[in-house]
Amino acid sequence: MRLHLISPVPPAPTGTADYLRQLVDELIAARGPEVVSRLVLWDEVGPDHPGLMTRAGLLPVQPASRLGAGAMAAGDLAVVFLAANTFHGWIWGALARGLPVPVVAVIHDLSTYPLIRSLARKRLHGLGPADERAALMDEHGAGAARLIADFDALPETARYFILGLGLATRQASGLIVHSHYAKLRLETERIAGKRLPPVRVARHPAPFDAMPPPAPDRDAGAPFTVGSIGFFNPTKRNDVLIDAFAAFLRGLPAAERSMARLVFVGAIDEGQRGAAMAHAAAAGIGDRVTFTGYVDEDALTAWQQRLDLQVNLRFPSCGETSGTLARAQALGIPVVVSDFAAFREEAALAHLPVDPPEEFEALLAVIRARHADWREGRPAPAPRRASTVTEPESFDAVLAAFERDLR
Amino acid sequence: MSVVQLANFPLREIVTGGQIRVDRLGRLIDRLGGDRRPLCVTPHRADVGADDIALDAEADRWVMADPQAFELRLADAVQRDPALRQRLAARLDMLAPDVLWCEQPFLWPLVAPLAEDRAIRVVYSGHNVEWRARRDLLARLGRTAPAVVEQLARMERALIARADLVIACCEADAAGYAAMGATAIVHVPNGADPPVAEDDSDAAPLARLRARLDPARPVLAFIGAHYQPNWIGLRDLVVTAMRPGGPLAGFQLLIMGEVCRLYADWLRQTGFAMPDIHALGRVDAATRSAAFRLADGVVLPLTTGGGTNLKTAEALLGPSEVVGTPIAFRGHEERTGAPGVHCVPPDAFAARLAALDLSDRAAIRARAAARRPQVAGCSWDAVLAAAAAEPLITAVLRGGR
Repeated sequence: MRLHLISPVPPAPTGTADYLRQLVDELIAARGPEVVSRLVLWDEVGPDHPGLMTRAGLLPVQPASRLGAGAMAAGDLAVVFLAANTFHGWIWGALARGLPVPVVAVIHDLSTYPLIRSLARKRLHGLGPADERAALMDEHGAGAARLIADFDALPETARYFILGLGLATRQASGLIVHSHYAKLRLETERIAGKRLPPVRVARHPAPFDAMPPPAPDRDAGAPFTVGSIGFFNPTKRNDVLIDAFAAFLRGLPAAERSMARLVFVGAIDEGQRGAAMAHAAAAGIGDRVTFTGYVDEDALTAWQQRLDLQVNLRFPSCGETSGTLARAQALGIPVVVSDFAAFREEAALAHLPVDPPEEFEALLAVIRARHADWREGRPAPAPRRASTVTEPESFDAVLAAFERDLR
Repeated sequence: MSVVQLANFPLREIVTGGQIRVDRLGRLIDRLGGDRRPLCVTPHRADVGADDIALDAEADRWVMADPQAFELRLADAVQRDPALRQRLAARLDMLAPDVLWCEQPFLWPLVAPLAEDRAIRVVYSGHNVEWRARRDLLARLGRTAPAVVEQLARMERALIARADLVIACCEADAAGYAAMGATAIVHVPNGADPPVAEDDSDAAPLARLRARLDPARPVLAFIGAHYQPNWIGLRDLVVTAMRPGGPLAGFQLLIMGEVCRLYADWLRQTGFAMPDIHALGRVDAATRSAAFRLADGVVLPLTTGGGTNLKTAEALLGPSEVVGTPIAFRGHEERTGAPGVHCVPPDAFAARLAALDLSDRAAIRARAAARRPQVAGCSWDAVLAAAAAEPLITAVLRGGR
């Protein structure tokens, strides 16, 4: 029985690719190196793709164009990794056409309808109007038609709260999510009586092969550094972060201001960069803010290890997990998250309200407190979870349960 | 040193608590050598002058059409009207401020472009933490207007970010401004002038009021502006308790100020008759003095709102028992143990008031006299003297920070 892992793979610049690499290493650690003989990786790659480097050696990646009945056999299991960005369009297309073996779908983003709608209207990856309807039918019934017609008129925030996971829930035999929040939404936001495959909650695979790189010695003159990591996106509340950091800097004695900086590490489109730089300049902190743009993984790790506080806010949320949050947790970096949706279940230094005025004040208070600790050489308080729900099982254990059930 | 003091009401006729505070802080500016130049941007009202930037009736209707957003709409209305915009610009040009002294954050967008000149110093003279006060009031009314609250917060934060100095009415507000990023904060509480005339200039209204009241029954007094928190507290903690069978049935109440309009609305809506309540409307100094002289107790039944209350300072300086909620005593906490002062939570307010012995007027006057040394600090004279010695204030008004 082979496991077909259908996902973007590195170096695709999406969190799912990093997730897959971490997952493969976790499976190898849990099941032994021989498991690689059962793993088949699929992505939209050309013949010159170097393969995925794992802790058990190089694993080849099969081109998605060959995906189909001839490549899979009875007893195999396909695991598809679904998110709401275009790197996953081909996977949604493959799912819509159907796979010849049982499928377990790993849901990274709950809110996927905007992507399905866009792909279907452009007729990409074989998706079309029927798939757009199928995405919504089990959640909205006859109301789906009205939603499809009126979707563009909805406020942007409202669009984030529409799931559109019908292709996954119809085609998969099991679903894996990363929070109890996601599980609850999947189970409750659907027309009564519509089939829903079993949903299980799994822990995000451990980044860094469960052995994070040792923290380098901090340069004695290193500034107090606050950072937001990953794709630059308005939902990450970067405007609030800029305002709060500016307010924090204003409160420092002038001589200390040059000893603090704010960094945005990750891809950012030029329009957003220009707007964010203008915002920072207007707030009087243009010279204290850095935008790195996209960085490779080593540089990402190095930047994270320079952080005294990582800011992982999110509102509205696609309901997704955050790979950069998992990395921060593994690296032991103090991290602040939104007290909202799946993030409420995450261990963090602080969970901030998403009500904008409260959010600003709470973030400013966290930055000030963290800075006070930094100045005194005190460690940050231990992270805590805001939710009392149980911690999820490992991905390996959850996958094993599905393998058992679906065999 | 030209100091433009920007407010959303004129100061020709000083009536409301807000006007009194702005006027007294204006005197502080004068005292410290500032050349004070009031600038009023206001909805349509009867007492505007030629120099005020006042909306016409049509713009006013639009502004007032959304009661939760009317302050935000005020700045929008001015910015939309080329004539008003031009008048404001011309007026600011003529006033040539060295210091922009903003009394309300929702007017900040009108002068923020001028403050891009970093040589101009900015003072935010806060009356409340405005966004929190608005949110709390809406909650009290059972309403929400998150966009209004968020916009208010954004404006207030922008003003604080640019301000060289923030003046707070009370410590709680100072903490609120600090949480929003303010660093240079000075606490200037609200003060009051003794409410009762020292001579017999109130003799005529005293006689008129006496004739309306039953001397055998206790008399309460309340004064307030046309402001929902004033009315809501009075309604819930006092007026409804005066209904037949209520714990305050038999008490008499003198209501003064524009809050009487809200009381009149309530009477119309409910159809109640309240023969023991005397709504005096806006009163002159003599009538006000007479009412305070006659009152056995002054009530301060606030259940929402920020800042400190001028009414509280005034009541403490007066000759009556003072009965207020913890919110009403914000900024005066250390005075709640003074003779004749009663700080009572809202849920016990009416019962506690009913249980007070208000029959011995000589004893009430004696307690008021006994507390005078403890409350002298809440007179405007004392408050402004202390403020004039604040280095952060003098620095801003003398060109530094």
